[in-house]
Amino acid sequence: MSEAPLTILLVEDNPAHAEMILRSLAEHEVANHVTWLEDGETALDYLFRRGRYAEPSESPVPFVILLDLRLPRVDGLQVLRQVKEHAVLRDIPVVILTTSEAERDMARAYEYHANSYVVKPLRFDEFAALMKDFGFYWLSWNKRPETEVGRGMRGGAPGSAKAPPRRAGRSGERERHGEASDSSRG
Amino acid sequence: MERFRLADLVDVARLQRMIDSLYVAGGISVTILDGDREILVASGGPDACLRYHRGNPETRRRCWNSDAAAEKFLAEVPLSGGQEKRRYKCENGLWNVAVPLVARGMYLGTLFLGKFLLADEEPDMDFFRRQAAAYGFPEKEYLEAIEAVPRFSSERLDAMLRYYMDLVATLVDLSLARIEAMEVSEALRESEERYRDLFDTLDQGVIYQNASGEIVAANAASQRILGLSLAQLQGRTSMDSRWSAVRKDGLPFPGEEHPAMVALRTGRAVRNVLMGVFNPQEEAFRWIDVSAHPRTRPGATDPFEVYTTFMDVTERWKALEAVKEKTEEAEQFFLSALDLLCIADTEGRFLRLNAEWEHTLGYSLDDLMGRFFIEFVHPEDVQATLDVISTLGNQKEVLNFVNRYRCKDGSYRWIEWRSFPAGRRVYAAARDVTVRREMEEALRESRDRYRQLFESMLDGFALHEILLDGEGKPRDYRFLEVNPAFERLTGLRGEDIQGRTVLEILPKTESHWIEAYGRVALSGETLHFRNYAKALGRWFEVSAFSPRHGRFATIFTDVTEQERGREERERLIAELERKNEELERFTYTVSHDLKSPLITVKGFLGLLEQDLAAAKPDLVQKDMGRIGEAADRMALLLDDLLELSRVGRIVNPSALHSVEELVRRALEAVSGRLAERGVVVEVSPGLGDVYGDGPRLVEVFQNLLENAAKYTGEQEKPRIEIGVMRREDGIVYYVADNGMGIDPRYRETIFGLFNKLDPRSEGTGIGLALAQRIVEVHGGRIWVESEGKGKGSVFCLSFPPAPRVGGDDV
Repeated sequence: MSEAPLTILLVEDNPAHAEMILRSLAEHEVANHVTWLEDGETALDYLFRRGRYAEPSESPVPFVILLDLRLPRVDGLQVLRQVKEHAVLRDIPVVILTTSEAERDMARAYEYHANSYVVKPLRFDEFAALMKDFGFYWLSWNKRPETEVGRGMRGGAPGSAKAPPRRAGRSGERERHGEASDSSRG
Repeated sequence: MERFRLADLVDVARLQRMIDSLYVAGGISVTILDGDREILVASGGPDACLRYHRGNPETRRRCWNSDAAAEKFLAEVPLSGGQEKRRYKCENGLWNVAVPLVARGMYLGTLFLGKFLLADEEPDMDFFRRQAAAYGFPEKEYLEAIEAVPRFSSERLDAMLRYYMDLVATLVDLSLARIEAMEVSEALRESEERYRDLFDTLDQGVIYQNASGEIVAANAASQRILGLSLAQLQGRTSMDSRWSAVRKDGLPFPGEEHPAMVALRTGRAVRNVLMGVFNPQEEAFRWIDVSAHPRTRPGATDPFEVYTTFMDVTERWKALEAVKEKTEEAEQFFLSALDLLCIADTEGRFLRLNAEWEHTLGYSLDDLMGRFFIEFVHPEDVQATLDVISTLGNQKEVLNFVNRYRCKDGSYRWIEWRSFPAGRRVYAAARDVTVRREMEEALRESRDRYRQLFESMLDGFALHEILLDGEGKPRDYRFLEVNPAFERLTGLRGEDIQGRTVLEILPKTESHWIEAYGRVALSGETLHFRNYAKALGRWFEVSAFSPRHGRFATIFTDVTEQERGREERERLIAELERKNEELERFTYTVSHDLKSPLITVKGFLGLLEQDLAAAKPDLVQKDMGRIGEAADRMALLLDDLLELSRVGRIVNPSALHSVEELVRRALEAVSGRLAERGVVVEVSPGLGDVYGDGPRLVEVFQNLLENAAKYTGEQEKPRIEIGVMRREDGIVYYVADNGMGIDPRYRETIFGLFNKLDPRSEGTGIGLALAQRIVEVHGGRIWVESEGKGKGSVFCLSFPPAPRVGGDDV
């Protein structure tokens, strides 16, 4: 029995960007666990517990999803749509994190009920600040009902989460073609 | 005077009795012959004659000779004179005396007195003895018979003759008196009959009325005319209220004024009074012309009767009335007719005109009357009009002659004439046909224009008549007329189709056309549509309308060029839209994909700064590596984009290329990679030729080969096969592999720019996008067929057929 990890699901095909995100999150001790997946198809497998993610212990329900739009195989909008059409998964906040500033992408993202749409900043300091704010906002300030998803996992309660999780482990999980690799660094 | 026969004048039987009595009393035999010498009466004769002379042929002949001599004697003997001169002795020796019977100077017959012997003459007995001996008479008896013959003295003879002559004369006188009476009575009878016949057969009615006015006689004609039988008429008077007689003017005609009554009253004849009498059989009035004549006995002053004669003048009266009516009618007609009527003489002068002339020409009738009408005729029509006058002068009618008359205001009206000469008069009915002529002219012009338009118009025109079934629904239609453009546009010849129905000509014509045209013909709605005539390969714009009920016309314009233009425009618009979309997609992709490495560079520069500050040399190294990768990637992307933009922009001349040669060059280019992966490539023979940009087509095969080599998956014996399939829709080249295959979901996305199924795979993901672009620039198509993951992939290519080489084609 350990305190349930506050998992962030990161779907990002660009490894460099993924590294930047993971390092920024770790820097500000935002999450104690980040699962990084590189394409839309794998992300859906994870969320819907298919294939190698069939085992629930392998695929804890994320507290929030950071989703890139331009992804191989299944693009981000498709992932978003399927999540938001799902009776349970739709409660998970989905934050679109993309390079695209196209109106069409924003409109469609919100049409599919994205919770937030964020364009990757070019400047690094802004990028770092964004990651910090993101963590605090979604993991601390944002309130949700006490559902299974709301608790962030099935089984153990995530605690009343009265305060932002300050001591979240700085760990990230990187998954690629079904293989997870630890990319955390401290 | 007619000759009478004695037998008609006397009572023969009575006369016979008288002479018989005298014979018995005095022995005097008498024979009377009539005018024809025929025995009228005869008393018996002496035995000498009867028993002896008539019994022997010789003596009988001598008797007859005596009679003949007597006749001769009589003819010669004067009628007056004594009896001595009329005495003669017959050849048998006996005396006769013959006297003519005459009454009123007329010979009626002859009286013979005899045979006798004269008292003062001694008979010649010897003669008789000789005679007895000669003819075998017994002498004694014969002589006794001679002795018994009466003997008369001359005096006695005279007395007897006088007596008989007086007797006969008396008888004749009586008879003649009777005859005369008979003759008078006969004349009277004949007169009566003639009168009666006349009375009965006369066409005129005749009625006799007595002094008190009662009808005593009425002939058949009167009964017929009055519609009453004789029984009904007899006893009726003129005062009878049943007559219902009327005067000429229709007012009652009182009985006391009837001509008969007037004649009775005045004693003078009344003549020719017209009277209407009601005929109850015909239940109509008859008109009679009545005259009444009183009859007065000599010496009297008042008439004792009156006879009335009357003639049925109903028909004549009616005819007169009718003529009068007709005359009035004709006059009325003449005055009020809307036609122009005129009576002229053969010299060409107006004698009489009706009022309509005033309206038509504007002159008053006084202006026209008596004028020569040639004065009013248009100069150009004068000669023709003079010819007509001459024809009329020859008593020939002239029909439908048209000339122009000058109106008072100087304008001209067209007048059409029908003229009939009658002696020196010409009766003419004319009509102002100006408007009609103008309309005819306009109509003719319009018709000419229409015909010209019809013949020369570029649009096809066809007139049809709709044909209905028993329920009044359109079942077919018939071509009535088509113009040359119709023939040109449809290839159908007017002479072949006019009068025939569409189902005869084109049996496959769908019923909805007939229904639609039926609505046009019957309801008058119009139709407009475009229709592609497959057989002709042309587009037509069709308008259908109904020029009159039951018919419809179609006008169609060849809009093939327009339609092709429209198709071309639509194709270009679609092409443009596709290009725009492609450009947008491209811009989007490019901005996204080029931005990504930039973010990486900036991000890791920031991290590098931190790591330098924190003196983390391993991380610094890593950060710099990331920056370098990102820069390289950017360069690669830019190169690929440049390459992509060249496709379709920089074009090598198109030519026919051997596909085998293209494949060979592609294989050469990728031989290194293929060898590296140990891929076996098999190329089918007989790939044929393809038309296009050679180097670009090599690139297509090169990209497909590279793609296949890249995604061999876990295949231990990777193979690539290049070949050709001949499918229904054309020739399809294929590049098939036995590699990792493609999920059907990604069949489209793999051709997207910078799309990669495997983010870890090398390259930017431009290869298939480039191949697709080149194929599309050639007008071809590229797609992938795969049964799924791990089942290998088949990339297929199809190209449009090469343009035909030769001729003027460039």
